[in-house]
Amino acid sequence: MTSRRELLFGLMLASALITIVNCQPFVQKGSSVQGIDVRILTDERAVRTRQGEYLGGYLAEYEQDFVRHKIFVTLEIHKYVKGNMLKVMGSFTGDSVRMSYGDQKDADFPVFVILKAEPIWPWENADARILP
Amino acid sequence: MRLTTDYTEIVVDSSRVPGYWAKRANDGKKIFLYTRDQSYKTGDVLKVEGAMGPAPAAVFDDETGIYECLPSVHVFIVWKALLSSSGRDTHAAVPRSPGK
Repeated sequence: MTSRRELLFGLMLASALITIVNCQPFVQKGSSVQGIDVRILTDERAVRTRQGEYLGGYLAEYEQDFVRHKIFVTLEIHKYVKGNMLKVMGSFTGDSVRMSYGDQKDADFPVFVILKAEPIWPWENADARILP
Repeated sequence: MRLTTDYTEIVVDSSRVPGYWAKRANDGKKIFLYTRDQSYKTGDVLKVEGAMGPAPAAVFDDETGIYECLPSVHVFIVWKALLSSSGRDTHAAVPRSPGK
């Protein structure tokens, strides 16, 4: 009885994982979902990645261990604007986007697929807290 | 079904799916109604005919600003819709054809 229940649970879990992967087909196997706070740096852009995927998203910045990292965050519905602060959950795909930003010419930025994004309100306070 | 949003969209498998979020009258279940008819508004009550199934979808909630990639959203493909009561009380029951 227990093994049947475990099998059923396993099948349900596998089904859920398959549907999540279907939603974002280019997420790498084994990439872990993580949460970070980011600030959107650019308007929405459509780009081609180093591995040949065509994606829409934004260049964004986050801070870790007092070091700022720039990443290309991608999502399927683009409703955010430059300057927005977001708490995002998602995964790095292992792919990257080559683009220029500020004084960085043709730099490679890692691609981060967003599964959930939540605004940090108010923008001003969040901005001051994370990027002093 | 009572519409809980104005005309909006979700994304299924990288395709934009237009329609409305609605709550089913009998159990309050949240369902996305797929239709190209933009004439309805939040609060309208529709009697709909069509087909329903689950789909993984990317959703943006305009009210909260939250974007979410959901493993399963109940999508109802509207074949026929009848407005049974308007959220604005401006017009009576009007039959509408799908894809209009």
